[in-house]
Amino acid sequence: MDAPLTVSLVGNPNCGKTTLFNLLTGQNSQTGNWSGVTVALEKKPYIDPHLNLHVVDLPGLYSLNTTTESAALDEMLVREYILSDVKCIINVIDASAIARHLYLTSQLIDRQVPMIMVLNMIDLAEAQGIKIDIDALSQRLGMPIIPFCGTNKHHIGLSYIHKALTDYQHQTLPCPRPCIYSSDIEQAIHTCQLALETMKTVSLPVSRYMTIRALESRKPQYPEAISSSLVEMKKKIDQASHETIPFALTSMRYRWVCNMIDKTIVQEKKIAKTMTQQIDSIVLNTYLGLPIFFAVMYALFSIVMTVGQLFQPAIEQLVQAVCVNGVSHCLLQLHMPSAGIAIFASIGQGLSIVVSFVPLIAILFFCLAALEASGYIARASFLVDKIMRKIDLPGQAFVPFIVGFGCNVPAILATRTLPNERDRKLSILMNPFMSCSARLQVFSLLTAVFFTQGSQNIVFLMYLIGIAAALFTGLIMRKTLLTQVSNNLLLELPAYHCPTWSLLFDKMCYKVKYFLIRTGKTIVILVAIIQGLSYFSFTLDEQQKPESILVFISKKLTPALAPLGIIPENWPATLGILTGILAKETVVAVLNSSYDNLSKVSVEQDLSNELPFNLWLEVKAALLTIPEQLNLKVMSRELLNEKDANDTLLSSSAKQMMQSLFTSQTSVLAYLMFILLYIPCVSTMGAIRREIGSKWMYFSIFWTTFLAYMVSVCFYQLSLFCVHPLTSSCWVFGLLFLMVLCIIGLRYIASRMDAQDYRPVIIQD
Amino acid sequence: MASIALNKLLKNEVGRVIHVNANDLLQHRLAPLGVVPGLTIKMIRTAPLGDPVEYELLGCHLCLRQEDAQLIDVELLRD
Repeated sequence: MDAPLTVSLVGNPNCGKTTLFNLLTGQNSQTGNWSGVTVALEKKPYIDPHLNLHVVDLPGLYSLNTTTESAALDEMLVREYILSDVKCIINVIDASAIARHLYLTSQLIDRQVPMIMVLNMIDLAEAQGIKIDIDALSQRLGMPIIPFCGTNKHHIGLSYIHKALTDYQHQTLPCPRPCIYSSDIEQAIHTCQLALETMKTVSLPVSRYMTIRALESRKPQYPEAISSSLVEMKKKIDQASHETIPFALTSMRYRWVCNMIDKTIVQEKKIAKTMTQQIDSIVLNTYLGLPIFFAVMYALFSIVMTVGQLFQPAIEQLVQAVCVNGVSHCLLQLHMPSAGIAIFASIGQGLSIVVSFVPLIAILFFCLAALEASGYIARASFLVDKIMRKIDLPGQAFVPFIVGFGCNVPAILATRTLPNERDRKLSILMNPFMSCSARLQVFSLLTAVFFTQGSQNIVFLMYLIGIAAALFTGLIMRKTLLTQVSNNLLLELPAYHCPTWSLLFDKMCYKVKYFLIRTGKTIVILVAIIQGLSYFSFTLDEQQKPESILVFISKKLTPALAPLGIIPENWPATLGILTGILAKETVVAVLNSSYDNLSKVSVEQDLSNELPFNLWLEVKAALLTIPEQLNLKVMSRELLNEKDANDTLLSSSAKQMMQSLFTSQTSVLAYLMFILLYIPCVSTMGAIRREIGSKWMYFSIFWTTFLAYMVSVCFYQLSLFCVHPLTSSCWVFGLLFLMVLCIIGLRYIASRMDAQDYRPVIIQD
Repeated sequence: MASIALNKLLKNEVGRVIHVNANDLLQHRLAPLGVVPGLTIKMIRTAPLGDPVEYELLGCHLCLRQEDAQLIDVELLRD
């Protein structure tokens, strides 16, 4: 059998390519991953196996011109693909905005490959009173035009598309009629093509299309020798005419578009108002717009947190039952040494943490996909652009920040919606300071023990400090590492669509798969390391109760925390911080058990002394957490007000021990600030590494810890200023000096990056 | 008729683009969206906080910030 032919779906963003793609390939077909940096190009076999065809879904774009050096990666990919690999194009067009969409068509026609045009949303156009003479338009363009309606159940257009594709298979589908430009421009194209051919540095034969791309693009991606002579050539042409070549071509294209739609498209009587306009007049209303926006954001946040956390403990415990306890049990039966069991159990622990994020991520991306597909995300950007601009980020960046208050991991993944690399980095680096719900548990526990009144205010203060730290980070980053200016805002408000369930599920599954495979890898490794440290000890003496490496390290580290009021005997506080790197949820449990058993040195679990393993009981216990979680929702709301609630979380002996070891309320506050600001958790770090690379992850680890140390020490020392002014001021000024040094260092690094012609980091596997 | 900056258009006013003064890069990004001399553009609404502004052109709704819209010269069309 011959290699399958390919057809590519090309069109502006939001014109319904993906819906058509799913219809053309069927829902059940396998997704073939494109090798490369992003999975931007999706390729699936055509639904009817009689035609040996593959369909490629390309990301939407407005124009084939390269505009910036740092153009969105997937756009570059499309241009590259159309230049080299494309064989047949299905041009998807929004029938309600034909003129705008035909601009891209005119560029595609230059490529001179067989083309099919699909007029999508034909129903919407009809509703707006737009009459299209399809036959005449098809004649003028020289390609078949198929009216189509993606949301219609019957999909009448599909059979016509099938027919056109059959023609393509039989090689009877014609190339479209070429656009002929004005004689000046044709002359320029001709000269330029000859010049490019004589240079012979390009491997491909020089096509008319390539020449036009080279003339039209702002920064053509060609070897140095060619681009410099191109610039010369362009200058000559520019001097001859009064316009620069790219703009002459642009006006030419719009003139061509006007010719095409003249008399073939008629706007009949103005109809009152489309549905989109009616919705917008409420949703973007001067007075109602922002309240509605905040209501939507609140709804998003609470749905994600409620539903996500409902299943989180159940799934975590299930996986733990199987992968940690089950595996350890089996290995124990096989008489494996306990060290080996510990290694397996650590990896199992890592897996259970990764899997526990799945419900959260699934529900978040389901909701986000719904908001995005319906068209509301674009409106949200429109509404809050002015606020976000104050921190030099586009309006879309608002969503990850909101999500960050629930959990930083999905929040960091959600930054993918930001078009610009630099904006993404900035919001990812600021995100860890958004205080997540896991940190709230630590806050409420400690404040309830130490502050009889006003614990809510303390918690609220923590949130504010977190936001301040994020703003500070943003400011420093913009002045040092991420100095590039944000792109101008050019935001399109698409017509509202009702998204299909299958689309939302597809997007959700894709994100979950992506998270499990890519981000999960890092998280499992990091969790396994920390878990391992808490299992193993330096002393190999089996008789003596061994001290785990983690406890050993925390005892050694405690003196370093003395300036924020942690006395050396209070090493469980340090242990809490160290295990908090794993996940903030563990802090409460660790604090409880280690303060409770302070006489016992180790907090490790003794594997051999466990209860007999019973998978069924564990599974049952895991599933029971779902109703428990429902009750807990009610309880946690009372947690801040009712001190009694904490007795269930904290034994009274642990409470007394804690009260005796923390010397003052200010030291507790300083400790809380540290918990708030330092490394949120390994999962967040894994997400950062996946999104923007290891270097930025290490930087984030350094920066969060440094900032946490600085803020908490400065706070504690200033509170003791009256007691020992000299020591306090030494600490404060010393740390401020370090911060200044750090900023200078960052500037130095930034200048070196500039010198090396800094390119945006490409996400690697 | 004298030209005015695009951001001076009031609600529901229509203008014809005369000249785009934006830098090279912004012009390149605006052109495919239909912000080229000769085409008409209609002001729809300002965001609740005063910026950005929503415009309609070629049947699409496009939002521009005031500072960018200021760079586009239009002539006011009365209809």
